Amino acid sequence: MSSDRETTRIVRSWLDDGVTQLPDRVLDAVLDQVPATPQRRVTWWPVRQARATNTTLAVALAGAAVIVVITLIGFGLLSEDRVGGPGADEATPSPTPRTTELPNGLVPLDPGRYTLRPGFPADVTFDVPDGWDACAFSEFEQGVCSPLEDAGGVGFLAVENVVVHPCDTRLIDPPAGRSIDAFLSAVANLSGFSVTEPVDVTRGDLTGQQVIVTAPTDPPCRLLTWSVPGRTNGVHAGEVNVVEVFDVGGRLVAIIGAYRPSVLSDEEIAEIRGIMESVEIRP
Amino acid sequence: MDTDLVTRAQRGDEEAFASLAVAVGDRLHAVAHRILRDLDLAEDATQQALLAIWRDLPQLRDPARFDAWSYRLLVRACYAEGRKERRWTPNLHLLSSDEAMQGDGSTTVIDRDQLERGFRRLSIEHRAVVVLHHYLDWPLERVADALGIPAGTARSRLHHAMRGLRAALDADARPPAREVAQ
Repeated sequence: MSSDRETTRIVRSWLDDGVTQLPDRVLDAVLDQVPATPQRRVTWWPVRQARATNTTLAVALAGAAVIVVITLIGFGLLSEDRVGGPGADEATPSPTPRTTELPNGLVPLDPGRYTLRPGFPADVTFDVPDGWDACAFSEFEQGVCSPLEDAGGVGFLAVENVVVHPCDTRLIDPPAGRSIDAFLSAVANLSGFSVTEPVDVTRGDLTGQQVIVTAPTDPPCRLLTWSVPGRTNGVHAGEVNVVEVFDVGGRLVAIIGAYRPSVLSDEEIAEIRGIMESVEIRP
Repeated sequence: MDTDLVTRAQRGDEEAFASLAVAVGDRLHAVAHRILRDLDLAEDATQQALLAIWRDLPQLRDPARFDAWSYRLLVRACYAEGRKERRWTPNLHLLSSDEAMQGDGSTTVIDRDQLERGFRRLSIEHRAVVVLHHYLDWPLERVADALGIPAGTARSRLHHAMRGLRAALDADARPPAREVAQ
């Protein structure tokens, strides 16, 4: 048996071998992209500085407000009969939330409301908080991931099938994606996984079912679960997946909130749940 | 690291950033390769990390902390690449015997092969702690600071990872099971 010291020596020696130079083409590729990559400007404001400038800020805001009021009066927009809202015969402009199409690949996102790219079997929109990445790999598998430690995310998957065994790439025959019941039954049979009883879930006009799937914490292999066209999903040991499945015109659509309780804080898990709660889905 | 270079790059000076990228590129790539154990993934991770450094530099409050901060972005890029590996296809690249022979002789071919397998079984989080601590020779407090995790978590990850690697080495040390004569 190796001693701790011996193991450390062997590991250090092993780590010493390997590449030490970044190929020029990689560096060139980075520098080529720099001019087209805008820098993210500072969005924080040091508390100390904010306190020191409270008075200045108040004066500046008051001045700005006066200018705005004078300008509005100048354009006749603040006359007395307008105070209290628009007249009865005026149409009230309703704010239209801006929705951005989710980019493909692993891309940092600005916070906001997003929609999936065309090709997904349902129209899906959802909110993304600050600091999240897109992790969309095909039209059938799109979503957002926490940039921290590959620890969680929310995925939208056109699921087709489930593996025969989590350690085996083979898929069930006939495919489990033919119905919600068949799919969830196959998920419930994933060896070593803990799966809750299905409960009904409604989003808009769609009614589906939800289960919570927890992967084993000490698996003997890399764990595989369900598949979309062209790919079979894998999960980490101990990963929790909140799986909602809907039948959209004969195709199964899954909304999956995945997180690793051992890595994420309660606040980060709440953020994942928040994204899931913001999801609107239509056929 | 030259903090003046960092400050200039923070203000959008592309030439300063190019000098910065040249200065740190090799080190970042070496760490990415050791975490991911795959040249292609490591190149992608380094590229993503360097672009993230450029993009987020204005948000770095203290230029003197550039080193730790840049490794945090690198490790995040490694997580993303590791996730890509998991989500797409397994991309195992086990060392061939020839590659394994090229070491300094202090580890045997069998050790290296066992370590490679044992290391690949670790999560990217655990690998990152091992590499920053044992390859860069950083104390655990600095590793924790760079990764944005508590020192206790870094210690626990290192312990878990080293136990796994030791088990991988010991697995090879066990005598092979004898065939039972029929």
